Amino acid sequence: MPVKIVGMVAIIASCTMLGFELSSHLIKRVHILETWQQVLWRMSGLVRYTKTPLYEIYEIFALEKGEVGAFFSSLLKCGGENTLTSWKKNMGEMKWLSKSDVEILINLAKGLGKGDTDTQVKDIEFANAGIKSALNQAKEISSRDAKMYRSISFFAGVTVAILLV
Amino acid sequence: MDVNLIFQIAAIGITVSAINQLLRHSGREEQAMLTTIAGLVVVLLMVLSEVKNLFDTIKTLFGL
Repeated sequence: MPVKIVGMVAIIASCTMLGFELSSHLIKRVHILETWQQVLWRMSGLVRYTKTPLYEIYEIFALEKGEVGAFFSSLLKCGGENTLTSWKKNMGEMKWLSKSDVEILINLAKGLGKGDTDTQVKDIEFANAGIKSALNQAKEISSRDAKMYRSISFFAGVTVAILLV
Repeated sequence: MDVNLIFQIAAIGITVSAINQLLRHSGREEQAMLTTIAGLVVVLLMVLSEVKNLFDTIKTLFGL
């Protein structure tokens, strides 16, 4: 009997943990998109007003905490590669983002460091608008689905435990 | 018939209805319906042997 109880608790706990993991995935996406929004605003200012070179921009943002900082740190290690290739290569750091979010950033990388200042600023602002809309969507999904994942995973665990007893 | 089976079915009913409500509240009506159907199928599978026993008893009783 105690073995059964331990087994049931283990099943329920693991299912609940899975739900928490899924909900944290949604919350993490919101945090990363918020960081990207701030980074793009600052990047726009750096390009427009101080005409900072791209490599120095990478150095500034590599000091950011979390995944975005790690992304820019890995960009610094790709010296010599073109912007698009290095961004594509290091998008693995952004595993919490959806495909459409990554696509916005990749599209930004296509124009970054090329052309005149105004075009680059326009590109950054366009990407920021996309990130803003993705952020709103992510917030909506997160508030709606995060609680649901946690509750459902617990109940799914209970159902599985009952079935196996 | 084991009385535990009845409790098991009741517990599955409760959890499935809870999951159903949660899914409905988050606007996933289709998944809520699928969950209900899955619960029904699981319960039917659980009572399948009992239903077979019932038919066998009826057959024996009436000499069919």
